[in-house]
Parts: sequence; C-alpha cells; structure tokens
Amino acid sequence: MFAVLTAFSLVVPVFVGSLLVKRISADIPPGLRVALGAALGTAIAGTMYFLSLLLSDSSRVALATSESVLGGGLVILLWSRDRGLRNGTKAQPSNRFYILIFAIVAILAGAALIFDLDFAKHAGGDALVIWNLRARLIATSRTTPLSAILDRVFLGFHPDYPLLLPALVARGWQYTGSGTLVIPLALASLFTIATVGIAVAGLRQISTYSQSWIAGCILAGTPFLLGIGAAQFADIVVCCFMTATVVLYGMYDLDLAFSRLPFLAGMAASAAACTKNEGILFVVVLLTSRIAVAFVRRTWTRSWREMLEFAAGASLGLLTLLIFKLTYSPPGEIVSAITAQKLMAGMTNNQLNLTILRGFRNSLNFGQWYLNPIPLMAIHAAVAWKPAPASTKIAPWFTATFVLIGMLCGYYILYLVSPYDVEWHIQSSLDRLLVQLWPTCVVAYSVLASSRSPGRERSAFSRGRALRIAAVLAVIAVTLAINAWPAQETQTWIVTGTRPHIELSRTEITTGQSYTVKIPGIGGHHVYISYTLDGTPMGQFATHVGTLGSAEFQGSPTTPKGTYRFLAIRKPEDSVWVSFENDVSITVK
Amino acid sequence: MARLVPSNSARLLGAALLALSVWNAGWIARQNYHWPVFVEDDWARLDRDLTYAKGVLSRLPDRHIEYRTEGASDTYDTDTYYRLQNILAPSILQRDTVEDRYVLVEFWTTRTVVPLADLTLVEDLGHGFGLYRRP
Repeated sequence: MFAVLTAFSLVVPVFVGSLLVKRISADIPPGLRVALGAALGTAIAGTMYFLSLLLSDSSRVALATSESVLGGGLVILLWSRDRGLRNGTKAQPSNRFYILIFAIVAILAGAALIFDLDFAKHAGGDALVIWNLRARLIATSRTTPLSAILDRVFLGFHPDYPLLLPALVARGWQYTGSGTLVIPLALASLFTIATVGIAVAGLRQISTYSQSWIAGCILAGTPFLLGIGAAQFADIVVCCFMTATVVLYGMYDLDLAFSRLPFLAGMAASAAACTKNEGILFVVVLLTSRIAVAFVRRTWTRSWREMLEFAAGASLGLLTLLIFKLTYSPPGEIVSAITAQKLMAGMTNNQLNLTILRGFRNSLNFGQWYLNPIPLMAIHAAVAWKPAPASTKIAPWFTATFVLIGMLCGYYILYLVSPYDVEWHIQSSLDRLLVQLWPTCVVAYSVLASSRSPGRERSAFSRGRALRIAAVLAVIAVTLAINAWPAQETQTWIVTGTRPHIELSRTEITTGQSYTVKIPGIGGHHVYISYTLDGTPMGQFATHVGTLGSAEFQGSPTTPKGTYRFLAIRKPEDSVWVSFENDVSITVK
Repeated sequence: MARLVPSNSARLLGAALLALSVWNAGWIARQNYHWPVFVEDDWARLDRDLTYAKGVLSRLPDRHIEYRTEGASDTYDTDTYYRLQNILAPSILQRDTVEDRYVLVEFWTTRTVVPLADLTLVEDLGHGFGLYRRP
C-alpha cells in the first residue's frame, strides 16, 4: 500500500503534465512529452499546493486543493482534443553507435546516482536545514504550518525562499502518512532524470539526433549534476524548469507553428521562480531575451501573442510567488542589499572584481568532472557552427545563449553587492548556480554545433573559416590562461608542531552585532572549531576561513546568550584537533 | 529535411566528447560505488528510537522546546541539531531559553538521563534524551 501511495503521488502529476503537453501541442513526440510532463505536472501540483497553503495556512486544505485541481485538470484534459496536429517533424536517420554510447553512459550514471542517493539519503546541507525541514513542518504541523516555517528559530535559513519544493515533498508525505525518505529521494531522481530527458528529447527537435545523444552523454557524465540531484537540493528542480523553458523556446523559435509552446514555457519559468530566488532572475532574463527577439523579428503582433501565451502560463506561479513575497516572506538579505550606491562601489572596487573573477575561474570545474568537457565543447561549437540563413532571423540557440549570458551577469552583480564575505559566498554557492545553468549551456552548445535550422545544411564550411579558427584559438588561449593562473593565492595551514593563534575583534556583542575571528597563518580553508558556552562543551561548528585568515559572525536573535570560548581547530578531512595557543572568549548578551 | 552531415573534424570532436563522457560516467560510478545500499544507518535508528519521544513532545502545550546538550564532545556539530530537529518536527527546538518551560536535554556522551540541578525531570524519553521542566 505504501509503495502504491508513493507511486500514485508522483504518477498522477506526471500523467496530467504529459496530457497537458499533448493537448497543447500534439506534435511533441512521446519522449519529450513525458519528460516535459514530469516537470510541468509536478510544477502544477507544487504550485497549487503552495498557493493553497498561503491562502489557508493548512496542509490538509492545501493537499485537498492540489489534488482537486489535478483531478479536475485530468478530467478536462481527457475530454479535450489535441491541438496543432500536423505531420510531425520528419525523423532523421538514427545512429545506433550514438545510442549505444548513450546507453552505456546512462547505465553508469544511473548506478552512480543510486550510490549517490544512498550516500545523501538523509539530504545534505541546504536540503536538510531548509527544504526537507520545511516540508516536515508543513506535513506535520497540526495548525499554522506557515508560522512554524517562518518561526524566528529558523530566521537564519533563508525564510524568503519560496515553498514549491517543500510543498511537493510535504504532499508526498501526506499521501504516505509518514516522513519516509522515499518521497524526497523519488522527487530528486525524477527531476534529475527529467532534466537530462528534456535536454536529450528537446535537442532531437532543435538539433540533430546524434548531437542530442552527445548532449545526453555530457549531462549524464556530469558528477555534480547527479550530486545535487541526489542531495535533494532545490537547485536540481530549478535546473529542470530552466531547461524545460529554454528547450520550449528553442522549438518555438525554430518552428513558429509551435505557437502554444510559450504557454508551457511560462509555466516552467514561473515554477523556477516559485522554487528558488534564482528563478526570479531567470524569469527577468528570459523576458528580456524575448523582448530582444521581438525587436529583431519585428513581428509585433506575433510577439504580443507570444507574450500573452507566456503570461497565461506563468500567471498561477507568479501570483503565488507575489502573495508569498508580499505577505509572508521577509526581505531577502541579498536583494535588500542591492542599492545603486553599493553597486557602483562594487564595480569600482578592483580587489572585489578580481576576487569574483577568480571565484568564477576557480569554479570552471563546477561539474566536478574527472575530464572537463568544456574546452572540447567550445572547440566543437566553434568548428561546427554555421550561421543560420538570413530568413530564419532568430536561431534556436538565441534564447539559451541570452539566458546563459544574462544569468551569469546577474550572478556577477549579486556577488558585487553581496552582504556576505564574498569569498565565502562564492565558494558556497557558485558551483550550484553554474550547474543550474549547465543543461542550458549544453543546449546552447548543441544547437550551435548542430543546428537544425532550415537551409543550414547548405552553408559552406568555408564560410566564416577565419572566424572559426579565431574562435578555436581563443578557446585554447583561454584554457591555457586558466591553467596558468594559480588556483588559490593563499592556502596556508598550521605548521606541524606549532599551535595557532586566535584573535577576536570584540569581546562582547549583542543581537545584530558582528565580530571577526582571525586565525593568522590559516587561509582559504573550511574548518571545524570546537568551543564551549559558559564552560559547557558544545561540540564544534563549521566555517570558512578566508584567504586573510578571518571569518565573520553575527549575533542573531536565536544565538544562545553566554560566554563562548574557542578551543581547537581542524580541517574536515583531518580527525586531529589542534588546540589554540591562547585563550579567547566573547560574550553574547 | 535533408540529412545534416557534420564535417570530419566536427565528427571527431563529437566522438571525443562521447569518449570523455563515458570516462566521466565510469569514474563517478567507481567513486560512488559501495555495497550494500539503502540499509539502516544511525539516522534511521535514531528516528526509530525517538518515536516515543516525538509523541510526548507533540502533546506538549507549546511547540517551542528548549534544547540543550550535556557532555557534548567535539563529535557534536550543528548538523546533529538539524538532524534531531527534522526528526522531532513539528516541535521546534530552541537553543536559547526565552519563554520556554520545557527543556529537552540530550546526554551526548553518556546517553544516560540524570537529574540536573536547575531543572525538574519530567520524563526519561530513552536513548539519552530527557524531558525537563524549568521550575
């Protein structure tokens, strides 16, 4: 019964989503329909649950509403007829070699995902302290789950993050009647597989079949993509919705007969915004890209219709997000830090810009690959790219590339105005942000390398040869420059046989005040520090010590009052503690 | 639509990317390999052991409960607190003392509940957890 309920909680949204995709555009082939259906169906279930939770503050009402909407939607979709049925896209000759290689990679990646899911089955990091904890509070609170989520005890863990993922997990737990690990693990697997599935099946429509298998292999062979999926991070959910949006717009730009796809793209984009704050930036960048498309295409009526379709698809998600942000969510720490003055100060701060650039450079292996595919991909795209014929005007790679560049610029600006220690901020977030965009990057690369634009195949290889050679040389030069630039400027540790010195910037703080811990001679490390509170051993806490050997801490309303004394330090990979040579303490009042 | 024929160099690069992906996927599978999988671990055992405690805490009039550790060695870290918070939700474990009457104490090293000077023992919840009340 338990397995049936678990399966039912997932299968119904996937089925409704697939049916919706079929009714919106019958030309979408079954593989892509199911992959998109998995993303969009769960988006509908999660968004409805989230909206209803905001309006009723009751998990039971939220569950009843989301299931009623899914049930009602299913009935309507079963009774409605398919739209846009044409002859379908012409099949290309399939290449069994590519399929075989993809099958091998998929089996290996599938095994790796299972092992990874087992490693991280109780969720790691943010999934533990943010997403699954919120889901548990929603699913188990007899009254007012929202007040539990927004309780001051949890103020330090981004209460401004939207609740689509916790809503989905809580919904599953309510189905099964227990907080079983199976639900978050199944959702994590679903979104990980759907992300790869959408990219592969979508690229079969906008690129060549062989290129779609190459893209699938690259994605399935990305350890960190599997890793954030297995760790149940919301990043894989955002990543899936972003990929769906970009693929849908790629198809729409290639063939305007897919006139209803912006509706589905709107649903996916708004679901990304309802999952994490990066999704809001994604919606802004995406809309900017479509406005740019309208200016290039100069078909205003068509663009207006496209925007209306997008708005119709996005309306439910954006309305939910608006209610959450205006009524419940406290202002986000990063967003509230954005001021023109701070931005200008950041832009003119050479040291800060250099630190951020270095952070981006250090994150180039964000996928945690054994062999980084990015240089080969860049050369492949440079060698194989042929300009689309003038009649096409908007190439299917445009939206993906625009989104990619726009999001990277957005992240750069956010680091410029970051209220945190920027080095720590980059180290703790950039890899995840980049992996969210990775499938979009692979889609853009694939379409550049093997676009299916009409007439493209007639382009002569010799056209733009100089440009291509320049691009290849540029890629090689950048790769060499990256390798020549030292990865870390100062990574130092305690000399064997000595004891570290510790300094505190203050001896007493109250709530809201901050202090700096400085440990000269230690830089660029994640460390554990053991401590006591009023003489009672409290275990250890983890922190990042910047290259200057310092870390900043702030007293929050939930910081226990008393006198803190720091005893010893160790690296996460070492079990041996090294005691500080001096005795320092700080009192929190 | 006519068949798209990639150039030899593009085909070679595509093949190199396939080979590289097979290598990467094989490497991840090898790195992550362990056996058996999905067996009961410390967390699952703690979850099972605290079933009774969860019931007791959920019946308390206030969902905010002060949480303390006694004898926390350097093996205790903040993840342990969040693990416990996840298991005991919807009870909210506060590490400060404002307005709380009930105190959940975890005896980290000894796993044995003993009387504490400033608190009245309400119930031994087992497995090193004691529910106390502030006088």
